[in-house]
Amino acid sequence: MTASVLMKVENLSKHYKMGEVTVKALQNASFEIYKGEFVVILGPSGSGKSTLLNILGGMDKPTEGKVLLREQEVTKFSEKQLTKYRRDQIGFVFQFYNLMANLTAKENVELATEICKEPLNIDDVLRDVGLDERKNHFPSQLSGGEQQRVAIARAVAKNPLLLLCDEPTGALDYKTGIAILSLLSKINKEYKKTIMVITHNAPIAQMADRVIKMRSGKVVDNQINENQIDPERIEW
Amino acid sequence: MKKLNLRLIRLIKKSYGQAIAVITVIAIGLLVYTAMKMAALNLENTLNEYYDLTNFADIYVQVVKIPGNEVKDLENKYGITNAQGRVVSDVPLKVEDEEEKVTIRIISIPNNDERINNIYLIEGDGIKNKNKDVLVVEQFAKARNIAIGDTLSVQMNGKLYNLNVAGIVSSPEYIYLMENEQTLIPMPGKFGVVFVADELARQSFGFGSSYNEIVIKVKDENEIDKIEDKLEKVLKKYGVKRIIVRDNQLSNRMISEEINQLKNMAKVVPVIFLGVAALIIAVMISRMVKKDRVPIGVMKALGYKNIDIVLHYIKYSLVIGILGAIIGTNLGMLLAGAMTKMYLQYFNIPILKINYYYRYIMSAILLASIFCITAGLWGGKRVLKILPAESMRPEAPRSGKRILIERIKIIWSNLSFSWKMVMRNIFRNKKRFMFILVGISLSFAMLFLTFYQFNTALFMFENHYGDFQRMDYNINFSKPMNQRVIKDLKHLVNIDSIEPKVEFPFEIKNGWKSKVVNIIGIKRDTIFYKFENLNDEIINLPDEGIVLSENLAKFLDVSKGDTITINSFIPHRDDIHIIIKDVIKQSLGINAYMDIDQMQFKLLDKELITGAYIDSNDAVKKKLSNLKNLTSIQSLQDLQNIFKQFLSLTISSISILVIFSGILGFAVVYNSTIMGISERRLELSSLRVMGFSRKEIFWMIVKENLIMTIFGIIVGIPIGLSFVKGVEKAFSNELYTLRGDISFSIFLFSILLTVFFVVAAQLFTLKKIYKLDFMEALKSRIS
Repeated sequence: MTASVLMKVENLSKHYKMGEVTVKALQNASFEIYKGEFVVILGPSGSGKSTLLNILGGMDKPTEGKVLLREQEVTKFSEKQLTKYRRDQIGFVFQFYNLMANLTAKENVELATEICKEPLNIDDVLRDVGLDERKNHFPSQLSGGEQQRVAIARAVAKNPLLLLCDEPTGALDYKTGIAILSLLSKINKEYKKTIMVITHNAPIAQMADRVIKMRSGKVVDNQINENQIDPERIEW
Repeated sequence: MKKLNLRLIRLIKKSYGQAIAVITVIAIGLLVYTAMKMAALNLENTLNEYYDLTNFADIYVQVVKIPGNEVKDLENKYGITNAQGRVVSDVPLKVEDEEEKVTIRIISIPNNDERINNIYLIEGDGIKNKNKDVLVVEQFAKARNIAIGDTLSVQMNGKLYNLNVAGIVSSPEYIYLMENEQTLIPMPGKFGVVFVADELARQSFGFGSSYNEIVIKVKDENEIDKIEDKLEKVLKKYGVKRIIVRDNQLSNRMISEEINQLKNMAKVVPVIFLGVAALIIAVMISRMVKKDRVPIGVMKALGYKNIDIVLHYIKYSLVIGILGAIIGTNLGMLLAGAMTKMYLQYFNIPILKINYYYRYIMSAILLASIFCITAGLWGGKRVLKILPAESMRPEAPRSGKRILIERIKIIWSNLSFSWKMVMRNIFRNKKRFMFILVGISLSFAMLFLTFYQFNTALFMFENHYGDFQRMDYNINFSKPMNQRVIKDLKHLVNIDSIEPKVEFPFEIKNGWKSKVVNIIGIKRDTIFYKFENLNDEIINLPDEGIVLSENLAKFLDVSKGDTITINSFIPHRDDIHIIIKDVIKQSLGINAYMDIDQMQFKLLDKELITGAYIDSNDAVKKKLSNLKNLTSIQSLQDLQNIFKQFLSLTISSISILVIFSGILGFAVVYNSTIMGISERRLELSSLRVMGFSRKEIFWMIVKENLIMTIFGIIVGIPIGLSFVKGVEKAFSNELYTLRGDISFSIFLFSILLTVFFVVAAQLFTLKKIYKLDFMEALKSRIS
């Protein structure tokens, strides 16, 4: 398979000034990811992985460096272009699901799709994430796992180029977490979506095509995972 | 439907209590706006139409006697287009109850059709038999159950006439049916107007071909003042008693003032209510945005633009604003209809119809929208500051600071733990504190103003009739009589005390400022008046010189020690100059007072009097009713009774205002409490976990609000006082001086009611506190 480069990150740095001290959240991170890959970014808390994800997702701007999605230089985008970028090309899945409390599961998905160009069929997506029966429930009537499924459906239905997941299993119990990972894997394969998951939970890396390890704001390792295993067999 | 709009609707549904509170405040503001504005327009437009229709006079000249051809000669001179002579005379009406004294004013109308002050026939045919037929003014006919075909028995020039009621009419001159400036409120059963043919009036009053009043139309209304001056000179030889221009015509003036009051109300009240509503909305939305930090972050992450999100919140305020406007304007139109109908009880305009001016609904909606959008923008501007990446992380805890009161060790160390929390909660959140302060202080100020107005109306009347004037009866003769008549009166009725009086209109001048008022001459040490000067000293009338009522002195811009000129309307009398010896307080009416002997000597003839004051327990009215040359007997008791009736009407409008003002405070306190509870869910839940009961938490919040209420009232007092000052200034005129005691009871009532509304608002929030699921609140991360 001759995969094309989807995203290219070059010398990305992010410094925060906190009074007198400059915190270097991200230092010279560089890597490439390919179309259709399942990427896991692994690192302990404070390693800069969330900062990285925010910049890749167009929610934050770096101090230095470039992010290129295909030919577009995301880091040169204006505020307006970033909004459009988030709208059409990126899907987010958050640790705490972050659904709108007073919209039903289906409406939460529609909230995302009604502003983007080429959304997928919502009912199909909801069926595929296993929520056909519960799509008219409000978030408060759903379990954590179900809420995360809604969040995934919300991100997928936008039909983005890249799906960014920030600790998607962080708030879930083991069994539900595995189920979510299987779902992500399924989306990766069936919808042919490039997915990037950031986590501090090392065993999750076993299901990835590519594993990028981070520590103290630096990329310390970037490898293709040769012994990919099925998410159902992951244990922690 | 757009999902964001769906979210909006569910948001409003969920917080419907708050939405209703704001909608109510907006609705009240616009209700007052629409109702007052439309009632004012209805009155004003139909009034003008009616005046045009009936050819309402521009100038009235009261003379002793003027030949008819001299009246005609005035036409086409001095800018006068039309002049019409008439006979006007007040006579007693014979009624069954001899204790009752009813006065009717007989006014002659010419035979031709081009009349000035034309009458408007409501029922009947008009005058056919010129020697017998009369037309009765509607209000009077209604009050006394007079119907067509009835007979009215009146004394004219001492002779009894039986007149046939041939029609019921309205007159542009008596839309507001009041005998004179001194009566102040209409008494439709006691005073009426009837129109008779020219011939009948001239014959029965012995005027021959002459008249005692001229009504005039002018070419240019701006010239009225000039023409007035001219007429005064030209007609001097006919004994000009008084010239009244259109603006000062009693009925016209009362309506114009009512219209102006309505217009003022329509300006001020909506601004206060919409202002408070905007404040509540701004605070609500800013709180909502703060609470929605994460959802806003998510929306931004999903690619929603800032403008979409800000609009989302502005729509919330706009929906509330437009709902309030629709409810307010619709109720306002209903009320405008009801108000216009109510005005019909006082103002007799036969063509008065209720029009709805839809453009004011549009402007009301526009006004509400502007207020709400501004409030929404102000409250929603924080949306721009929220960064999607940051919003996902929990917010840093609010900085805890020591508050000022903590520094005062004696107080602080003696406070219980819950009081310490209360104090900190109040003083740390300054914006919320200010918000509640504004709401409660305005609410208090409006309650204060309302009670003040009520108290003042009561005070003014009780002060004038009872304290200032102290006679049982006030008797007026139809023409000046010799002082000997007092002796006759003493024979006729059993009298405790009696004093003669002279009451006559004169023009009082200071430079170019002049005013026609009744100068009243009474005994120097009269027991029937209590004169109090501006230094609160009780005074007697001086031997020499004159005493003016406060409003007259103000109008003429004179004070104690100045000299004024008195211009007599009696022919062949020179102006006299006289010194002002004092200025006295008088709540109702505008007058000057002199010692009777001096007045007779200087202004009239010796021994001539125009009436008398009497204290008596006898049936005065009955015994004096047949007396020739007696026009009116006013009893203080009657006046007080009529005023009490009048007051009961005022009470209902006062209570509406009280409720409106209270709703203001209620809405602010209710909304801020609800917002406080939802914002402090975590804090309150932690308290519950620590073992605080629901009741204790409720009391903690009540304590917070009560302390803020106290501050609100403290701030509200100066605001209320300035409202009172403004109203005193706006509503005092030449007829009455608004002056009430700001008594302790006004404070007490306003405070009690403010607290009442705050407590009521609290009770409505009780449910929310009891429903607070603290376990859910602690673990919930659903945005």
